[in-house]
Amino acid sequence: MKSLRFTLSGSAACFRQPDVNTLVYFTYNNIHKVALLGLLGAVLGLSGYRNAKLHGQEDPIFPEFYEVLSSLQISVVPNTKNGYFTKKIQYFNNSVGYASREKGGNLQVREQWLENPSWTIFLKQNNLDDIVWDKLCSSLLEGRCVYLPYLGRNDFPAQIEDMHMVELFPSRQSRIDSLFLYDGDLNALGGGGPAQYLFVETAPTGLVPKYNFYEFGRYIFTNCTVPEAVLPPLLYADGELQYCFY
Amino acid sequence: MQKTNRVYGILAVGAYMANFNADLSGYPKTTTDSHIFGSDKALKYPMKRMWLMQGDPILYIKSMQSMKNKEEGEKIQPRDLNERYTELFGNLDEKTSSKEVLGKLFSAIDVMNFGATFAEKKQNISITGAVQINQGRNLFEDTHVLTQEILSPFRNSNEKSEGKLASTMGTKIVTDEAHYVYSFSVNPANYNDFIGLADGFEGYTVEAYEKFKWAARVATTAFNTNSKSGCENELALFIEMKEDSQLYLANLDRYVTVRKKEDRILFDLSKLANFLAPRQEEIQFVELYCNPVTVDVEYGSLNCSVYSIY
Repeated sequence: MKSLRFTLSGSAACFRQPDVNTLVYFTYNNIHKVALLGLLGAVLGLSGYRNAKLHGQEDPIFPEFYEVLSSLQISVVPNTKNGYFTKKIQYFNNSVGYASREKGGNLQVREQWLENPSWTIFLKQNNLDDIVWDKLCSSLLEGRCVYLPYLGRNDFPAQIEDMHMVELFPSRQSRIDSLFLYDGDLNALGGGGPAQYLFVETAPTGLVPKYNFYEFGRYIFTNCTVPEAVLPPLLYADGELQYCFY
Repeated sequence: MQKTNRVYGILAVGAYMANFNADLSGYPKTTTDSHIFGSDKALKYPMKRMWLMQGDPILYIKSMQSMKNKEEGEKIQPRDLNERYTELFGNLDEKTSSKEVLGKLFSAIDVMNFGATFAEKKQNISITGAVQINQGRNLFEDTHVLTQEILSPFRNSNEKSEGKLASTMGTKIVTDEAHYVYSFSVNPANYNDFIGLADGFEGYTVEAYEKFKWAARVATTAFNTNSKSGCENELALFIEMKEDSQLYLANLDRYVTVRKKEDRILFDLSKLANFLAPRQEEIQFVELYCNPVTVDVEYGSLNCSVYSIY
């Protein structure tokens, strides 16, 4: 299977969690599927979440990027120890006077940022239209884009580097070297020895039609072994490591 | 005149005995590994102030008005978005068409360059700005943060305080020398969706870009508040891409280093030159503006015209 592989990084990132909307904004630790599709949509020039009425259109079922790209399958490897990026809460004021209804009109924003995040990303065409896939591959390989891709906030440009087409083979090993989705019992994961680590995060896997709410899944990154019976589907290897697509 | 080609570049700000951008504690903003940085907002604010002084309409800036209130009497307070919009562009109510509002928004020079989020009176408008500025990292290694005690002219009004007979102390926090390097991009394609939607709007313009370019060169120097009075624009690099180029360059500040060379400050752009060399055919021309009195530049193989920043 041909796959497009690249490194995605930046000096900071913030993929906002929608479940906290007061005092502090938190970020997910890793780029999730919806955010990655949005980033690729920007590269292709697809439109994102926007006010459809303003553009004289009916509200679509999905934003254009999701409509077009959701059949794409991805695999994500966090390039950091144990899959965990350092984070810091940054503070700034929005004092234009429009941002807060409180006296004085000052909005204090506290926002958690990932620092120096880096991921190795694999893309798999799956059912994506040939024309779109070819355009996506050529844009990424040649370093071109229509809108500038960013990591959650438009002042965090995304660095896309080391782009290659690679050949991957179906595989069924018990060790998975990328993030994967797993709903089962965490105690079933074993091995790893004293250096065992298990990173777990519930993060978006898709969008709910019409309302653009996230659908969630449990992302795992671990050096434990996964019992054969509960191995996720779509495992591929490059001869050295094994990656899970979702 | 419409501007359609992309621009990438670098903006450098020096801070001498000044605090270019503080966080809630009053210290310069830092990452977890104590690297100092400044936000895009810290750089945009002096630009907006400069445009405002020159008489251009600026929407997203604090403006005050005097309001009468039964309990508190007459007090000044900031305008809200609706009030500011009305002050600049006239009436806004539920029946105002989005076309009209969009057209008016784009007539403000800050919106034309940096974009807007406008949610007021049944309008729900989000414009990603053509100009995007990143976080600016302090690339100078020998930066020290200094805390100075300053005396207040007033006595402590708290009667229970031990120091109630003396005037109070405060602190002022500065960096002795820091050099913030920002990377920016200008992508006129961000507005393509709005052409024809907004009254009288034909996309990003050369005039708006020239105003940004001028502000990017001098606005920080011109801006003199207490904490920013030692901050000045030191270097500005503009890489004009060819008309149809869709080349993507991210975070050019990665390829810049800053160090001292005797009593002058040296910006080393040779890595940047190496990075740009294989992409030369996508580039129309490169312009570099710097302060010729204080700044030296190591160009490497960079092919650019050089001007004074003022």
